[in-house]
Formats: sequence, C-alpha cells, structure tokens
Amino acid sequence: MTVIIRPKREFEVCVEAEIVPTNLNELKSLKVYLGKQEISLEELFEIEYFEDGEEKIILRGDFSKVKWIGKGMKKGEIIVEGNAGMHLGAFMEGGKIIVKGNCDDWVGGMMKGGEIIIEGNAGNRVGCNYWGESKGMEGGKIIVKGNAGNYIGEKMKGGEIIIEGNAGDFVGSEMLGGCITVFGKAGYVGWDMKKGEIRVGECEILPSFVKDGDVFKGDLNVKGEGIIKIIKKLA
Amino acid sequence: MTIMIKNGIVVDPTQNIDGEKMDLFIKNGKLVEESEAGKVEKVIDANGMTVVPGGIDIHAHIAGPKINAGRSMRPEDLKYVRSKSNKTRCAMGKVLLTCPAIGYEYAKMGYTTAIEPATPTIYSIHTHEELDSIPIVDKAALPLFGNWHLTFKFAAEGDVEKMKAFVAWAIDKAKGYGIKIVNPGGVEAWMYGKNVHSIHELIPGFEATPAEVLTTLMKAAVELNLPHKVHVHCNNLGVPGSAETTAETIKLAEKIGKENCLHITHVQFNSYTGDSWKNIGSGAEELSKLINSSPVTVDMGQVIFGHTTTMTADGPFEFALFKLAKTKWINKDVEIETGGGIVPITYRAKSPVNAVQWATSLEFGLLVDPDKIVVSTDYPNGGPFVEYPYIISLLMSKKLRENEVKEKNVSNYIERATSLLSLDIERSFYDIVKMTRSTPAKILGLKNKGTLRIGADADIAIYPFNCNEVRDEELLKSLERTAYTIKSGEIVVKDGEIVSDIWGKTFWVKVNSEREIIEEELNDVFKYYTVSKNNYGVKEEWIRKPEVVKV
Repeated sequence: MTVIIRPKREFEVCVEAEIVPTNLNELKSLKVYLGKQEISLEELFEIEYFEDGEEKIILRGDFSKVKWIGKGMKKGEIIVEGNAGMHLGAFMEGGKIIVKGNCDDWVGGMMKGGEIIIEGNAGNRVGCNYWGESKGMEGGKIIVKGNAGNYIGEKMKGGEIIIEGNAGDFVGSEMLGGCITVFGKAGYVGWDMKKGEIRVGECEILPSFVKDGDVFKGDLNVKGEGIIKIIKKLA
Repeated sequence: MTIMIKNGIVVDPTQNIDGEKMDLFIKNGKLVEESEAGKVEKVIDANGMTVVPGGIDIHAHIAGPKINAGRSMRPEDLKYVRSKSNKTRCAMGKVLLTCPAIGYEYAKMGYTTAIEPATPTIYSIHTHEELDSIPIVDKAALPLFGNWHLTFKFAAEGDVEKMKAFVAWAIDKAKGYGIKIVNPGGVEAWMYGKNVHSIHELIPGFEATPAEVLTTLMKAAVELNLPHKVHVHCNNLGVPGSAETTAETIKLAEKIGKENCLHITHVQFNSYTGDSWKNIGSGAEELSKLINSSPVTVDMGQVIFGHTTTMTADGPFEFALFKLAKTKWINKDVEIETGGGIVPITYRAKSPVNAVQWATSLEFGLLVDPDKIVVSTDYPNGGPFVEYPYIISLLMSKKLRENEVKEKNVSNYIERATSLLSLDIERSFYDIVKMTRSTPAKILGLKNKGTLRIGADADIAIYPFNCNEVRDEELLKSLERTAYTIKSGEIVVKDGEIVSDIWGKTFWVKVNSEREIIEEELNDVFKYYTVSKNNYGVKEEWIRKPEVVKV
C-alpha cells in the first residue's frame, strides 16, 4: 500500500507527527500535536491510499514544520517530496527515507539502522546524540547531497554519514566509532574523538592531532585513536 | 472533613497493635476518638485492607543545589514521563524526579514525610524554594556543618558553648531541622586535593580531628536538646576497609551515651571490609552487633541495580567514583562551608563490588534491630526511592531474595563476601512498619508522625492487601500503590492515583541560645564573605507552610 499525504494548509506552528510506514490503515487516526493541541492526522492532512503491494508513504508538499517524521521506524519507505522538519528519522532502526528538498536539524538522531538520503541540504546535528545521552548514531547510513550544518555525528558510535557538499564546525566531535565523509570543506574536525574515521576534503586540523603517514591521529587529549584523512574533493 | 476508616486491619508499633481490625476517625487533620468525631462526612471501607501511618523517609536528597545540578547534568533522565499535566502537574524523571514527581510518587506508595539531608546553609534559600515546589509531603532540611571553618575552630578549642551558639545560629539561618555532617574534615582536605583517612587524623590547616568535630557537635546537639541530633555521613565512605572507620565513629557516640545522639546514614556505603576492591567484603555482621548495643541509629542506603546518579557533599569520594566510572562529573566548592560532587553510575548485578553493596544493605536490614534502622536508598545515590516496596519485599521474604539472586544473575562473589544468602530471617510486616514509620519518627523527634495515636497527624496509608495473610509473590505489587493515602486529613491518593494536590508543611527547629558569644567570629567571617551577614539565610515568611518545632 502506498499512502500519499498532503498538508491541508500552511501551518502557523510546528506539527509533531510521528509518521511511520507501519499500520498504514490506522494512519488517519494517528494522534499528532499542532502546537500543544492534540488532534488526529487526517484533520491536518489529506490522506490517499493506493493498493500496490508496497509499504510506502509519500509526503507531498511543504513538511518543513512537521517534526519527527519516521521516528523509530523499522521497515518500509518514506519519500518526502519537499522540505522536511526537525528530527527526521530519529531513533530509526530500519527502512529508508528519501527527502527531495532540504531538512532541518537533528536528521537521524541516535539512529541504529536504515538509510536516509537527503537530496538538498541538512541542518545541524546530523546523526547526533540527544542532550545528555552517551552515544549518538549507532548504525545505518545518512547521505546528504547538499551541505550540512555544525556538529555532524557527535558521539557517533557506528554507521556512516556522507556529506557531498560542505559541513560546518565540529564534525565528529567526541566520536566513538563509525565513519563520516565530507567531500567539501569543513571547519574544526574530530575534537575529543576516541575512535572512528573522518574523511574530509578540506578542514582545520586541531593541534591535538599528530600526522602519521598521510593521516592524522588523535585526539591526544583523550588518548583517542581516531583517524582524519584528507580526500580529494568531488568535481 | 471528618473521615471514618472502617474495619481496617491496623498495624501501629507505637501502640503495639499488630493487625487488629479497628475503626479510625479523622477530624481537622488529626486522629480523634469516635466520641469527638461528630458527624462523619466520608466513610472509607477498608475491609481486608491494611492501615498504617504514612511513611517517613529520613534521608533523600529531594531538594537543593545538588539534585538540581544533577538534573541539568542528566537531561536524558527527564525523557521518562511519569504523568502528563491534567488534574495534577506534569511529573517526569526516571531517577532524578522533578519536584511534582517527588511528591506524587511518595504519596502513591504511602509516604507522607521526607527529609532533605544535606543543604549548604548559604544555599538553603534554594533548598526551601524547591521544597516548596514538592506537593503533598511534609519535609525538612538538615544544614551541613561537618566542613565549616567555624566548626573546626570551635572543635579545636573544644568549646561546646560556642559550638552551641553557632549551631543555633546556622539552623536559624537555614531554617533547618538538625545537624548534618558529611565526611568531617575530608571535604576541607579536598580543597587541597586530599582527603582524611581516619577520624583521628588532623584536618589540614586546623588543629582539630574529625573525631573532635563529631564529639563537639554531638555534645552541642545533646545540650541544645535538638529533636534530631547528629546525622552523619562517615569518613572514608565507599572504600574497602571503611567498616573500621564506622566502628570508631560508633564508639564516639557510645562515649556521649545519650540515646539517638548519632544517626549514621546510608550505613551500607561505609561498611566494607578488605583492603582493596579485589577482596572487598561486608562488615554488616560485626557492625550490626555494635549498632544494636550502642545509642546510634542507622538507615540502610540500599543499592538498586540499574542506572542512577550519585550526589553528595563528599567531594573527594565523588572524584574517586568519577575515576572508576569515567562518565560525567560535577565538582563544587561551597566557600568555607562545604563542597560537593555528582557522578552518574550504573550498579551491575554481575559486578562483584556492586553485588556486595546490594547484599550488605540487605544484611543490615535483616540484622539490625528494627527500632534502630530505617529503609532508605540514600536517594538518588543508591537508587530511586520508588524502589522502597522492592526493598521491603526482599526483607520480608527469603524466597524473593533467592529468586532475585537467580533472576538478576547477581555475582556469586556475595556467597564468600557476605552472609546474606545464609540468613533465614524474614521481617514481619510489623517490623517493616517500624522501619519505615515509627523508627524514623522517633529518630527525627517528630512526635505526631509515624503513629496512629489519638491526636497524631492524620497521615495514613491504606494498602490494598491483608497483612496477616499475604503471599510472597503479591508483596511487591501490594506495596507499590496504596488504595488510599491520607495526608493531613485529606485523601490525596485513591487506587494509586493522585486525586488532590495539596501542600505539605516544612518543619524547622527554633533553638534558644546566646548568640553574642560568637558575634566576633561571625563578624570576622562576614568581613570576607560573598554574602553580607544581614542578607544571609532564609526568613520564615519566605517558606510556604513553615512549622516551627520549639526546643
């Protein structure tokens, strides 16, 4: 079954809607928040069903004020044909999310598996831990075809993040494992990283990293064994 | 409102009532005789239910700068939502509960009084603000004395009169309820990166030892006739070999000789034998004998397996813990008064050390005379207070203890290091009521609490089970939620849900003493202090519902 969801109007405040591609028949009555008001999904969105044997949700229109799309999803597919709001694919465990437009902050926060592809730009804190948690992203893959903001993959423990454009400061800070690739430019990279690998086109190397062959190892402040590698920029 | 509790099975150790069917009458927040009650407006049918006084938590860090710093340090803990705001306020937190959650959770499990045991006097204004935000329960705060420069000075001089004046002045400023001492001298030594390792070691920079500090403060408390005397967190806490220090501390109280002159809190945390983490053992058996024959009282400090956040004024201990746990750490220096530290920790059943901690506190619960020990987790250091029903069920049933060891896979090291598994003792419900109600009330000197005598406060918990014929398996579930909790004569909990949101009282002690003799010393301190003498402390009118206890 494919479900196409369109917003009925422009939202003046944020909508918190944990839309996931399971129990598609019950999607209409899904409880969402418009600001602090609790209402059902169908009151805010037009929902159309198509029987085609797939497990797929297509979000058509502007979803830039809709938060928590695909939160904790385990299987199936979500395609956002526009922009998406904060916390897209947070706590995700499997399945696939494709965003044709741009994304706000916290893409794939603490995700454990699955795949997120963003064809536009992403905000800050891609694949990060939530406040106070000891681990960020633990598995899966995030691909951003545009640029991303600051704090990419903080405390990341596993999985892969690929940014095809540029990234901001603090890529892979306090990283514990996994791999981050930024094909473009980044600011300061890998502070307090313990393990894992950061590949980057161009960046500032902190003084607590030492050159070892063609890579940099650190962060020495925490006796880390992380690796920073300078790669060729994409054409 | 006049309430009648009909046909309840009453347990009240203060009147030697053990499971008798009785009726109780409540009027104007007090327990009254049937003849005085007049027209009954509400009848609670307690047929087949157990009626006991409201529980009293003698040691739980429920308010003040420490728990607040802990909350901001662990935002992830607040993701756990206990109840959303509707009739009541929103309650959150798995271990570090928000203020409303603290009040509600206590009430739901039948507790109506809780004591915040460590507040730096300079921050007592914060403590009272937070206590005022905790609904339902009655509360009080104990100001910290153990590392105050003036305490050291008067202890070194052996000047009990000046110490009395100082204690009276500080309790008045903090609107506190008694004397709390944390690692006497050790926190001062921590300002130089050190600790004191024996109660007879000199405190750096002063001519006093921890033993002298303890003795002088105990003498002052006894002479001032404080309702709750000295509440101590011993030196050398949390390290192998600490049992010896605890034994020495108990001997100091024996010299004073006055009943209840010393309360050794979370006794489990300083009752280890051995000389390293590899051969750590439980000193509970020897210490229990010593406690039973001396004037001291204790509380358990039970460890609960799982995540928690430790927080104590014992700065050096928290640093040692941070080195072990390698997680987050907050350190705090409170001018010349005290210090503090916060470290999140996980107690693992498979870890031999944590298993010994878990078993040691249960040993105390089983071996110490129920008139001398109180159930506690040293919230949040050992675990959340919401686990009290779990602790009680383990104390009441050997079978449950054995199941717990099997289910949680508790390290078999406890067979060698502790005597828990060989103990056949099972506490009766009567003993449990002592350990959670009448004993803490007696230790705290709260005459109208922990009892169902005529004239006492109508703080009552009604549990949905018959204490005379309860099966082991039902214990935990029966104790977790009350059928009714009545606080100051109002029904606040019905069938485990909060039905009315009221404010409890804050107790503080008014001590009469000659302040003039320490005027010079105080002026000297305030010449250099961050707060002027006139602005220091809390005024009574700033507290929501103050209740003065005069001595």
